[in-house]
Amino acid sequence: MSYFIETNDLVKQFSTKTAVNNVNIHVNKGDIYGLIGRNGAGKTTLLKLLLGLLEPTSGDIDLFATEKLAARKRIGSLIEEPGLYKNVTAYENMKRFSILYGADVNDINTILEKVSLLNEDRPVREFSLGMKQRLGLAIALINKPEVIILDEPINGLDPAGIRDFRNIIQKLNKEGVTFIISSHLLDELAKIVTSYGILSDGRLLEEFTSTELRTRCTDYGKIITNDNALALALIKQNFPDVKAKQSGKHVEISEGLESLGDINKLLVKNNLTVTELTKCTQSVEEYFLGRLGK
Amino acid sequence: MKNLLKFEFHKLFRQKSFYVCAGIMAAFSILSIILIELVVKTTPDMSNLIDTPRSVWDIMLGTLNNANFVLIAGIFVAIFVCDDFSSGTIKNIYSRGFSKTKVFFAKLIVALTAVLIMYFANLIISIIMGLILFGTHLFHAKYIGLLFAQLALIIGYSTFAFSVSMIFKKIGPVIAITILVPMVIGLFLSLFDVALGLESLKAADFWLEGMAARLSTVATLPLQIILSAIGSLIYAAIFAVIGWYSNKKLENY
Repeated sequence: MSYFIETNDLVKQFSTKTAVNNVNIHVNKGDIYGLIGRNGAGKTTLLKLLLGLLEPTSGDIDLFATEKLAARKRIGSLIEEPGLYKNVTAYENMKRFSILYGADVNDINTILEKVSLLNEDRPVREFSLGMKQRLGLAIALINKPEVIILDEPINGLDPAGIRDFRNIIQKLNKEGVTFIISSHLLDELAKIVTSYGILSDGRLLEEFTSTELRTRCTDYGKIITNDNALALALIKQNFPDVKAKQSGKHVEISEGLESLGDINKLLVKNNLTVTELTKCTQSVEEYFLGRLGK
Repeated sequence: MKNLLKFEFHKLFRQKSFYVCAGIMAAFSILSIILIELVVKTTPDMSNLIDTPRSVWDIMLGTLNNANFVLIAGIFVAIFVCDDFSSGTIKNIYSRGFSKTKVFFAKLIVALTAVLIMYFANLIISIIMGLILFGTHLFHAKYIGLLFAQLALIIGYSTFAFSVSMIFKKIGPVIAITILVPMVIGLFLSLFDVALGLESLKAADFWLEGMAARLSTVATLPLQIILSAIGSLIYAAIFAVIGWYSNKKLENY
């Protein structure tokens, strides 16, 4: 199967540190590919390698099965802080990059409208972080790229800014743009991502689709009583097949959830006050933190 | 390459520092000429001590020194080139498939063009000032040679500033290096000349600063003019190769 973007045993070494270690990612056309990992996992380095901002130590990158420099003309990006000329307006920033990318300057207003920056006449240095991020995305949109690579695009944005950004990404994706996005805000990312890649210490732990992820997020039981230690002891004594442990201010049941009703009866019978007994589904964030060993 | 050049020129003509630096050069030029004339007129004895320009063409040749031209040109080049690195916009260029070599040479061409525009603007100002102060004088063919050699020197010095900017990328260190390194090298070469007792063939004369001093006066011999021009262009080529190679290898953005 040929992918839209893929890497083959990609390695990037910085003196003694291997930031990217034999990574093989596979991105299909139309995907919103979420790249997930802790700080220092190698996400930004991997994205910079895809964009040609860093040279790989070894391995290969395949971009649309085309020559790399030509392929990169079809990729827009927003890496770390957006690169903007701060003493000029959003329009002038767009004009400069439209000239550079050989795009039609008549499209500038259409793009600025998409990111809600049309008629914004202040110099960019007076913009809020959210506005700068949106202008960075607008620059990435010049010349109708087929792929957009975003590195932590919603970091520091307020809830409204995050919602706006998410809406723009979803709209563009429906128009056929493929995205590769890295983010720490996992639950937020989960709202839009169609495929995931988990990076840890420079290695790609696994790749899966959002549908596969839903089957991986396991159910668990959560019990809160007036004496959790006693509750845990009673559960272990009376239900040997149930796997239970103290977790923060509650007792967590990871196996034997069908016994929750009987456990409730037991606790009440022993004069414990059960303030909460719920069957929960693991959140995306909880799954990833578990997978990353946190 | 065409898009890169269009992009860089578009930026250049919208960059305040271009007009500010050109204005400062013009102001320095005018003030230096007026100052020398005032000193000579108010203190007649000084005319024997100061190498005063006495014709419009002498003033024209003094453009290079009167306006502290190379110093301000170096600062301008540093501001112009480092802007893309400090604002992070260089990522928007490289990530869209523009090769480092093309980016390097597009920036170099535009930076040199900007400095030459500043030079010609200052030349015109100097000539106008000279005509006001001294009227017309006989023009010697030697002046043309000196002007061409000055152009070569400006290219050499500006390429030095450009390459330093492309390697170090941060405006503060770049300006410091651009100003201090040529001075320090000139100083060491002068010490070397003194230590070896060199008189006819001095090492300092073959460094940018020594050549700038020689090319500002009509007394310079034709052979020295030619050697200075060739030397400047060789320096420009060396600095360009060092800058290009280092920039190609560096990944700090």
